[in-house]
Amino acid sequence: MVLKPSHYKSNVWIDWCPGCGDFGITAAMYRAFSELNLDPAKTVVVSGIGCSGKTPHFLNVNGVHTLHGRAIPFAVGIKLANPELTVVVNGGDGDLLGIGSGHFVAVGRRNIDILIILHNNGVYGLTKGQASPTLSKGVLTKSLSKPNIQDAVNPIALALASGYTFVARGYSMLAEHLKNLIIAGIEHRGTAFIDVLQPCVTYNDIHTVEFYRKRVYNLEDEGWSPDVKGEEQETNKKLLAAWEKSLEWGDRIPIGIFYRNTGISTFEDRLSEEIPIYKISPPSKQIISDEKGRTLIDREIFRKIFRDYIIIRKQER
Amino acid sequence: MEYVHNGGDTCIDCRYIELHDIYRYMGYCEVKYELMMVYRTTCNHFSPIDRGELWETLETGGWLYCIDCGEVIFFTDELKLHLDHRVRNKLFSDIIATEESPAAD
Amino acid sequence: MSVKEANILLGGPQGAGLETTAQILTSSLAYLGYGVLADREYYSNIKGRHSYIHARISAEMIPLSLSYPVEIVGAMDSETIFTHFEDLGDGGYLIYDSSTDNRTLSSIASMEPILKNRITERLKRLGVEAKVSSLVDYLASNGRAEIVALDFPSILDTFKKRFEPEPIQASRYVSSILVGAVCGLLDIDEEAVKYGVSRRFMKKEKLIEHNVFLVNYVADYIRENYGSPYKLDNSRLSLNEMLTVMGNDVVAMAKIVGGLRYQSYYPITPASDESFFIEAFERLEVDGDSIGGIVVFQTEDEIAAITSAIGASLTGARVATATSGPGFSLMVEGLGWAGHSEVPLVITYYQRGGPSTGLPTRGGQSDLLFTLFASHGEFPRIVLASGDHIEAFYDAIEAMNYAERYQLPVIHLLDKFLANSFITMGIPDFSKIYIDRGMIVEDGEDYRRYEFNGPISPRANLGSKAVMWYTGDEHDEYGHITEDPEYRIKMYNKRMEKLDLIDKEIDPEKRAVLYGDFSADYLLVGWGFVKGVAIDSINKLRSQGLNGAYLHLKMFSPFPSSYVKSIIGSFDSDRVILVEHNYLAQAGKIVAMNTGTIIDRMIVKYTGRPIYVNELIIGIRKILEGEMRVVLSYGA
Repeated sequence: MVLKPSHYKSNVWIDWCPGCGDFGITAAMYRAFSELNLDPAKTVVVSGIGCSGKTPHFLNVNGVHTLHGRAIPFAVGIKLANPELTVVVNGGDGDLLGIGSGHFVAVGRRNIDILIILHNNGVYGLTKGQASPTLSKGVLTKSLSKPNIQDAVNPIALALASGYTFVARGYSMLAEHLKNLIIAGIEHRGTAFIDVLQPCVTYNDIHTVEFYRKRVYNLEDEGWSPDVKGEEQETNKKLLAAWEKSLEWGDRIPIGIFYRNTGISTFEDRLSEEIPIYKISPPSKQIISDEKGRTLIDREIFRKIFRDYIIIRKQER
Repeated sequence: MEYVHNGGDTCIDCRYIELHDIYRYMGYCEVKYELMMVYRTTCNHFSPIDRGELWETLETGGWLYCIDCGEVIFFTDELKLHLDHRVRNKLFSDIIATEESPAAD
Repeated sequence: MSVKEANILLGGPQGAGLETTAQILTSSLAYLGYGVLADREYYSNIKGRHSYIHARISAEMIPLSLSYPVEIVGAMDSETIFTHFEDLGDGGYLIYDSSTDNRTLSSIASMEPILKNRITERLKRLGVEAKVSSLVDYLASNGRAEIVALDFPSILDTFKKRFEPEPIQASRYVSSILVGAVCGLLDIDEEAVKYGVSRRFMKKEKLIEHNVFLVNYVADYIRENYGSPYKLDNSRLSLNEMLTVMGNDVVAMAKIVGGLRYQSYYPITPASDESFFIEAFERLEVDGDSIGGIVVFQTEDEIAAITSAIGASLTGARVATATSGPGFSLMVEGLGWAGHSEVPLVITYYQRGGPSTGLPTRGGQSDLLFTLFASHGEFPRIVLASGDHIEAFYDAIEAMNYAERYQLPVIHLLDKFLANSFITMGIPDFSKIYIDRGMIVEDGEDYRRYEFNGPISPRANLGSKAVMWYTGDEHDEYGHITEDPEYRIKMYNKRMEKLDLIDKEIDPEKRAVLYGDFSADYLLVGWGFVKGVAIDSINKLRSQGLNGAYLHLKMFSPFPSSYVKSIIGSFDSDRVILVEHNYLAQAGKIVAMNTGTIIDRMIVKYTGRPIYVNELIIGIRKILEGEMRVVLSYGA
């Protein structure tokens, strides 16, 4: 049975500001989940804190609304313990690139098979519109008392540098386009990242719907090819090109898939090499005792496993 | 799906009005650049909003907002429930929230 | 003539063979059935600073504690002689390298200037020149000590004439000289030596041959020239098999036995060894078959360690993380999320000397209050502390059972003293071990993660048939956010009432254990690694006519309040003494908080070194004579 997009909507009232950029991201998730026909019980949406943190409550799949900046390591634990789950992280720009930037970088090194969606609106909405790590220097949004004096981080470039194997950008007012990115991100084996540009209707009066409408264009329309299959020289070439593309900002802002590398092993693959039964029997699936609560390891097995630590006393003759 | 327009030609149903996101009796007129009490007013610029056109934006943009219900509409199925309602994809947001909303997280 | 026990101290530069010395000796002694407890003291340093091993060997029991003075000081270098000459008891044996006779104290660069000054002052008072030969002469001429002078380079030259030493193993040969000298003094036979060396160098035949020769060569020389003054009695221990393990190893073994399937960690002393150990057994292979697999995950920081462990727990895996003070400081926010969201989680917490980086490689018990109160808001938690290696084994499994049964974080408190001390112990009793996973459901129909069903709601895992929500916000039964004031009371109560449930279900006598009886003249109150030294000191004082008892506190949350109150209340208040490794006597604060009983006499130590029997006995006497607070400081 195919589940319709509406099946993925929970019955919790959406309390984002009317017209919020998060609407489009949520819409795209409903659609993508439906097209992929994801089993709600086998899908987990993990979020951090702030407006984007509420996302899981609005979806009718498993939701884990965590701590500020920590959605990624929660998601990593979930995925590693049960790799059959589809795991999606939703985080704000403050969440993923400010307080949680260490995790954002570390997960790229591992290429764990999860999708990370960045709600990028340049401000900390729920705490009154302070400048976020993606707001450029010199920009004065509504609730700042003076122009921003910190520089912005480039999410696409940071993801590329950190080893993400799928790096894309979407725009929240183009939900249908974003849906396709989300589908591609979930289908990608490895860590996928989508930087989603979104207006904050309450606090960001610079990066508005009008601002983006005039500027965004689709990479695909200009013949951009993001794909590479792991070969070192090709990868480096593609990375460099994607990096250069990531610097494009101003009159024209590219959206679409910047880079996709299908030739890098996932962390789950790497674990399976270390622990052969990991694939069939990951940590969440293992039986650890019999029905009576006895341990799998009894005295005899204990003696075998830890024989190097056991000393058998010299026998008196 | 058929659109039932039961409004008159007051500003509330005019395409040049951005309805206020909280108080639906107010709106901002893009032609006159002024705040209107949209239930009562009208003018000779009046042009009815094209619901069909609006609904098409649901496909590409992903959502519409029903000001009467205070709810997001994500699916065409849901439009049935809002046939008599003021549904928009663009809203008028004043600066008050910026000034007075408490830090909340 | 023979002895029932021997205390020895072996010192040398860190990373230069001392560890090998201890391991060979422990294996050889265990092979002969002796009980051994050995504490490793070392600097936060990779190589070159002074480290030492302080051990007690017993023919009658598994030693519980350590004491000074020792009968043997074995010095691999001159720094050891200067640092430890007063740790040697009258008539004890100093083994040293006579080729260092001309070394002066001032020329030892690796010694901390503060210590160097202190020793200089001390030697001045004794009228001894600060030079190895002078110090050795002083010890010998006063009849204070027997001197075993071995010319290490000459011994190695002799060795070199017969064998071709492996240059990259150079330090091992120095270890073997020391092992040989100790084996001679204790009269450990050749077979046991061979056993110990073979175990240490597992299948490296050449190394085994070389070192067995060296050890026996030196041991024979000692026997011939000094006899074997500390020939040990035949062991009276009844164990036929012994584990030789450190505290880290014991906890790791327990977690493996107890069904741990996911452990996350970030490198930190003295906790990481536990994770390394588990990782070495990640395939859980028995006779070539894998009976499970454990993911040991090195994260980018301790925040990720705890949060990824929580994530893994939500899927139903049995999880833990292991850390020390600085790491736990970072974990605090995650701890609160786990408590609020009712997630089974074990945090194995090895205390070291704080605050801040403090004494990273030394011990302490100054984090008790922190573990009890860490994280904002109120939520139920279990804090469980182990007193010795054997307790640590069973507690590590219980901690995982409690976490899942009660769906909450369990902090298992240990310390560096236990983590890094070697012990010989019996194989655990498997009839005492069980696995309790709590209330787990599979079905998914209208599942409510926080169903009002008493304090414990049936737990479905992410990946089961149920769909569920978790949030750090206050939530409804489904796990969605609610700020309703009346609902808030219900959900808040549901969480907090777990503490009452646990208090009802876990026997207070398991949470606080009385050693001795109510008729005792005084009561020591302590926890963690204090257990061994407290019991041994009481026994020692009993032979001197003072009858004492020891109250061992094991669970601090929920605290066995009335049981503890009844015990403490039956002693005169001036006869109750806290013994702790911190400044405030923190367990006393918890006793006062929970029972209303204030204990105002205390013996504390916060040098980072363990409490020794010799100093605790003095401390107890001082308190019984009227002192309120004694601060202990023995040990280099």
